[in-house]
Amino acid sequence: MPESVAIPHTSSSGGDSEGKSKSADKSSRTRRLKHDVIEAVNELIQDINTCHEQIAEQAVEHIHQNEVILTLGGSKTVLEFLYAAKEKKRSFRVFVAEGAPRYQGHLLAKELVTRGLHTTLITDSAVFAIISRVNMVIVGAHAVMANGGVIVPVGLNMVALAAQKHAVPFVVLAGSHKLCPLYPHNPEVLLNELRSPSELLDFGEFSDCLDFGSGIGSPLLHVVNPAFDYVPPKLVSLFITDTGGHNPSYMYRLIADYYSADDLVVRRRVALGN
Amino acid sequence: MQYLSLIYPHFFFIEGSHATARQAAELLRSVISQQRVPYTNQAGALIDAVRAVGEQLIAANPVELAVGNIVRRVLHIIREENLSLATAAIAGLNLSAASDGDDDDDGERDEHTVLSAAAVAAAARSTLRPPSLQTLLEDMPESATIPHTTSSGGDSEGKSKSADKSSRTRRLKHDIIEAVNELIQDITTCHEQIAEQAIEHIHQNEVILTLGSSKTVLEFLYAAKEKRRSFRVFVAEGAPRYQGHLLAKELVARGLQTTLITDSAVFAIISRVNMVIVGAHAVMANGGVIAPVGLNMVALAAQKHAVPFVVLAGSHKLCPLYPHNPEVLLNELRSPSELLDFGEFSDCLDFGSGTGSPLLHVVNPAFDYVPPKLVSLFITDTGGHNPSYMYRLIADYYSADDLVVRGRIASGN
Repeated sequence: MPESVAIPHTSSSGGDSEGKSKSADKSSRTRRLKHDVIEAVNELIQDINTCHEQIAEQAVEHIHQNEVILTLGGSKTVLEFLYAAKEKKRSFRVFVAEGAPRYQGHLLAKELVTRGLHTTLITDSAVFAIISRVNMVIVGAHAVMANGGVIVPVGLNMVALAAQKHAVPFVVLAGSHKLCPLYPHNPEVLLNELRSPSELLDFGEFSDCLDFGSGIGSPLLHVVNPAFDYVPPKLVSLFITDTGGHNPSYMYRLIADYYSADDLVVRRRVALGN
Repeated sequence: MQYLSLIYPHFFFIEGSHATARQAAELLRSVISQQRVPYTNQAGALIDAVRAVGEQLIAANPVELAVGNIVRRVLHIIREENLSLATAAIAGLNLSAASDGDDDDDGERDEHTVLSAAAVAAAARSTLRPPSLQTLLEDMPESATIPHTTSSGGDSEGKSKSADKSSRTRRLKHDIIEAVNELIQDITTCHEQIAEQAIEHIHQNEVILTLGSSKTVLEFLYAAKEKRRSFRVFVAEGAPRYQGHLLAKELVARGLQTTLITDSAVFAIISRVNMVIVGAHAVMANGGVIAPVGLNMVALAAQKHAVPFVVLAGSHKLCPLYPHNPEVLLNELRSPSELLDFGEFSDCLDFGSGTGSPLLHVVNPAFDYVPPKLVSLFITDTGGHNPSYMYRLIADYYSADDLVVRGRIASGN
């Protein structure tokens, strides 16, 4: 189906090679295979480049008039998504939680304001207070796992729990290149990145109590600065990818489309004979 | 007799707990004023008279809980007034006593035998009883618990030094009648007192949802509008009586932005609603609410979306009984004709002995029971209360002896 939405798989050129392979020359078929593969990879690169626009095209179906949107931190996909809805003349308000400790919410809020959106910046701790007046939560993701769980910037698990308590839809925007065929086991530890405590504390001020590993007698202050949160699939209402909107329980199906089972573990073949 | 109109409400078209409660209170007031009381134990005689009438009133329409509430309130008033008079008399005796004023000894003094030993003992028992909130607040003339009048104990203190039994009798009746008058006054003004609190609860740019029609809700919303709060109201029509239509008309006439929706649209709309405000038919002792049918659904939808469910109820609706199987025992099954046309469906309606014809059972309950865990707040004329606090108000308004209202069986046949 040449019009297939699953763009990463190119339409096979089986029709052409049928006529030519009657006098099939191996090298020409080799050249054809490489050529087709390169074409398909070009399309993949094209998809990665244009994923923001494809997701933003769906904005007008999801954001309606007089809505209140909540987001946390900064995400280019979310920015484009909201701007596309504004371009279609939907009037709505956005609450941006700042997203400590990197405070990328400040940058997003500035961007939204320059593009003319009604924006309010709040602290992360104010999310639960404000969530009763929010109609939808829209966030970006770092990665989407095969079970529909999401690796997201830190703080978003809290937002997802608050949204569940008040029955507010939690919408995750993710390009298809973020869809990972692995199932998360202990993702809070194994798929997380612990960043430097210097983002939270000044080394100078706290140098006498920070944990340097072998402090003798001095009080140890452990600083945990994870970069990511894991949001379980039951807290996610909808995934919006460049192929459309999907339920978390559908994500395994997309994986079957994009990936082969043989490639789950990427390991080089051991060379024969040392 | 006057209370025929209460016993046959459908015949005389008295509906609604407000009107019923006021009529019951006025009726009991006339019963009290007409009742001849003996010299001794006048309070007991009044209690028996009120019980006899009250039992008939309650038996006539058990579902109208406001009648039973008023009967029990009046009984409580009688007991409290009697108690405060007795303690005031004791206090008066203590002041005039030359000796060390032991309560029990006072009754034995010759020149102070105005009180019988039984009354003295009762008053002594009562002074040992922890005071109810009402008697505590009676000492504070600015008390907010308006249903209980400030006892005239202060006045009677000076007068009962030379207490004449008949004058004390008249005083007792007089105090009781005054207290019942205040009760009637509270019933009449409960809408205004509840509406005064509207401004604390309804804020700017809110969306309110209600179902059916309630005068209390109407006044509440209008009071908030008068204070210049701009908000929108969604009114669910409240099948099968569609009283929501009347409420919507009234709200529009008063200038509120109103939207009328069907009952089935409540769950669809509840995600955009900030607060649900409803009236009640009765509030039970555990904090559960007997509400017009359809409100349990609204309460469940509100719980799902974490929307506060606020119930407005005058204090005459507070019932000291605990609900056991309220969906059946405290419900009223109305005629199927409200739902179906008899003419159209006459061949399949359940007439009890249809031979061979298909039977269609029509259930048309009048009330829903909303459990206390679904209610966020009660707003009564005394203020806003948690459902788990309602038992405390019952201790203030009612006596434990009156939970079962049964006339005393006449001795000798």
